[in-house]
Amino acid sequence: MFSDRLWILKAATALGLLALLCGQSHLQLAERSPQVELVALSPDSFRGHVFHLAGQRVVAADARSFQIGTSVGPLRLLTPTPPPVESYVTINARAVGIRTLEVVDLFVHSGYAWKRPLNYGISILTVIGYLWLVRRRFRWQPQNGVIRGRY
Amino acid sequence: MPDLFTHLVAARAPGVFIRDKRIQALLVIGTFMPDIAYKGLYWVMQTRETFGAATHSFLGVLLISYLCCLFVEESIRKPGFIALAAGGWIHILVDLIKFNLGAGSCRPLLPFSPVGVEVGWIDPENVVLLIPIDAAILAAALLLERRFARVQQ
Repeated sequence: MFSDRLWILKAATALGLLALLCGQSHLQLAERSPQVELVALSPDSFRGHVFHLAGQRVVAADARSFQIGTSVGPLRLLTPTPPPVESYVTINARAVGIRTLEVVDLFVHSGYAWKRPLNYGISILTVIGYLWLVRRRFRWQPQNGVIRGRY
Repeated sequence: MPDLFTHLVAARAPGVFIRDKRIQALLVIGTFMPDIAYKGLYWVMQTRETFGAATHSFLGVLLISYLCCLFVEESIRKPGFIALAAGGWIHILVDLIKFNLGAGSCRPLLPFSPVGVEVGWIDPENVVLLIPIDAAILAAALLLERRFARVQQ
């Protein structure tokens, strides 16, 4: 299993199994958690279904509702406490009508607009920096198809 | 997602007990792999989020780790695989601290169960604020590692 014998076959099998796992998981999750855009396309089929929406930007708000943007246009979310426009929210919401959902749980992320890019920036720098620091522990030998230890 | 510096510290701190520096590096690289695989699928391959969810499952981590360990030399491939997988599982455990309104921060039991799991201690966006604490833990771990090395000499 860990030898160089049939290396390419082992790599292809692992990649194939990973693709199968991702595909199978996608089918399970798509059935369990359908895309919220379907509320706009087929409202009756999803009436009563609770959708989970993470990190959504609020594009408009009034006294009793707010709107988020989707690939099929804005969706309206009913709540007695709408968050401010331009804020980012995570929501559990029940479909109640055409392009309309009723908020079940609402969480407003403070500072999302700067924290998220900072997170990505730090993450990219961490990976590049760490790989640079440990590069001397390994020797990159693409002609042999493997990364060899230096010791 | 917590930033990868937090993930690095979560793997590097227990890594002080690993003598082989190459295996130690693979433990840390293993903790990067679930996010690298997930973001690669999402941004490069343009797949849906649900397709990449399995990269943050125990089985997915095993497959990614096996695929990665094939790229290191044969003599350290087996311990390398164990280190990569341990790093990936540490990644999943760290991700569980995120608060996601009960929907689950990841689905570790895919494909056997699609149920999301979370401990829900912290807003995922606020994990980035833990960086000073992470840096202090990393400094303490590196100090401890030096002391161990001196004692052994």
